[in-house]
Amino acid sequence: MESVWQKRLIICCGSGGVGKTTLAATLALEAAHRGKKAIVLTIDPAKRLASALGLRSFLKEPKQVPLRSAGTLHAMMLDTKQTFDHLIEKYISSPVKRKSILENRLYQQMSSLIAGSQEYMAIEKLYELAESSDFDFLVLDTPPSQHALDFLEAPQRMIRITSNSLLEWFLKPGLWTGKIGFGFLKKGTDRLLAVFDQLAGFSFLHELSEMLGLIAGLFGGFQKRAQVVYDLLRSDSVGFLLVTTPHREALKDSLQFYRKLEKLQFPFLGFLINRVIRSCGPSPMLAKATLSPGLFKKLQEVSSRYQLLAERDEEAVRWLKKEAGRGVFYQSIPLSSEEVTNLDGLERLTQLLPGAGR
Amino acid sequence: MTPKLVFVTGKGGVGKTTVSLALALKGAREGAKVLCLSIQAPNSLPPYFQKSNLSLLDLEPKQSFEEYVVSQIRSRTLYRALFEHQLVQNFIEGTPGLSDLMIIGKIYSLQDQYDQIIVDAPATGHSLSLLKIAGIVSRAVRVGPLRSQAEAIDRLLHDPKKTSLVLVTLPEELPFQEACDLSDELRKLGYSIAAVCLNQTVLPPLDSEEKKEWDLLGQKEEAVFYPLRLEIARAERSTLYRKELKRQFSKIPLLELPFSYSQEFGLEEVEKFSEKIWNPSGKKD
Repeated sequence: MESVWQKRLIICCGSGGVGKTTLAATLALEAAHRGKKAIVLTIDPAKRLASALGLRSFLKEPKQVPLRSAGTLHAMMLDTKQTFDHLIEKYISSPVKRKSILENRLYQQMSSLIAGSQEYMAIEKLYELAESSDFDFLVLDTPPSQHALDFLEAPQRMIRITSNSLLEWFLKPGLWTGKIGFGFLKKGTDRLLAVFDQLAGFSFLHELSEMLGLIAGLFGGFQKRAQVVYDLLRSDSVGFLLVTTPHREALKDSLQFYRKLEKLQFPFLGFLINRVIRSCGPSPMLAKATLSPGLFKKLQEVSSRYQLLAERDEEAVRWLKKEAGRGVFYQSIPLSSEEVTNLDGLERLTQLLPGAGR
Repeated sequence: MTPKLVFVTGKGGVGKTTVSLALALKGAREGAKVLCLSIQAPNSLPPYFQKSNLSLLDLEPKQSFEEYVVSQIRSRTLYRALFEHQLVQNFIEGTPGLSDLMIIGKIYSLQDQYDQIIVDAPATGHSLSLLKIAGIVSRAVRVGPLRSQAEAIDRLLHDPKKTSLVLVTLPEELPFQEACDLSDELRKLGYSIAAVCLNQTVLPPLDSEEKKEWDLLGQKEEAVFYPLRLEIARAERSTLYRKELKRQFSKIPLLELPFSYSQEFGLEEVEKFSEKIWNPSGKKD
């Protein structure tokens, strides 16, 4: 996984519950040990890990983590509670327009449901920090989601709906003029409207269209910025990593995400397979002389059970290698007996990375 | 008494599907007609769990949308003509909350056909929006069947006799925290929690004499002790979080599923779990 250290920006992806945040912090810490000015942008870490990194609350500025190291480590927590209100405050300059969105009845009801606001915030912040010269190694811990693809897809999905001409048609059904390819709508206009009217009343449809239309203004600007970020994400200085565990659901998710990244031509470096149970190297017999018969028997029992688990994990990693193929790295991180909840824990994890023997 | 509609939720990777299947098997074994329903990914429920009185179903928002509209306008041809166009599809995909509404609406429409419905729900945040959507729609839409249906769904979800949640967690800090945060949020919103399920617990492998010897042992860091070190740490975390959960959820039953060492996780395994799942008293505390 040496390729990681050649990059400027590392994006850690993966489904929820695989230890993504912890490994993102570990990579940034290791980079600091390698003399870099590193920062980890994280989302909602465990409370104890957050306080170990000095992240007691959401801060606007990155916070330095005190280290004795060749480089420096900063950490920053992205506020995932940020909603569309903030985006609207930030990007809609006309106070009249801003007011009409925030006061739109439907918007008030539905803004919390609009998918992807966390993803937008993450991308925005990333853009800002990537432009600055304060850091030369950035690690982004992407928002957790059942379907990790949301991180890449949510912005586009929103852009698609808000910018398509169906919306204009909904907004001004009376003014709709036939365009080539939309003939079906012309024919179906009245019937479609009748269907909506039947379900929810035409006024609802109109309100919905109005709200989406108002938000569309917001995304015009966002679309441009998103494009810049997407170009940046495809550049040579960037590397995507997938964090997974050797368990079936997480592996399936990762593989699907990997294929998506490949298709979208994002620069993918490799897999970090977290919490792999190491194959028990030495035989328990080695310890026989030092233990009482009772404890030795327990060691034997537990060892043989873990040997099965280790074999299962090995098999899972083999499966992943076979499916994802060559050209990327596969780095297993062994399961530790202790939870990683502080800086010492992160230090222990860096020791498990290859080439860490400083 | 078990509620009719049970949502199984928790942080990603905590074993929601396993717990859902175990609950469904338990209901089916007791003679109820049970539906186990997944809205996570297609084929996440292994087909061999299907039994005469236990059905499995993967819900798909788009399909549910079609069914709903067709049921309302009573014409599939009209639906196809109007809704199967890319522009309309984009609209459906992008309208906030619509797919959640379709899923919850579908679940609502299934309730008459089964004694019990176990929903293998998505991870924490998404589960919340799924529960909230009907209420939001009933406030957002002023007239029409959409409004009255949304109201009926919201009433069902808030009725503790009919709807309840099972929170799944692991003996680890992050899933534990998330379960606590989620339960606060659920209570605030007026939903009822039937049980908290601590998954993947491990019993202490050593008796007190052996533990004393282990604590005094000098070379525990050596590779030969790795498995025992892991097992002891897991058992300690199981004890710790069991205690924490009992403190946090003093009024809610705490269920436990032991960690499975088996290679293949199949029917037999879940059967065993399902027998244990409501009998935590039979286990060592």
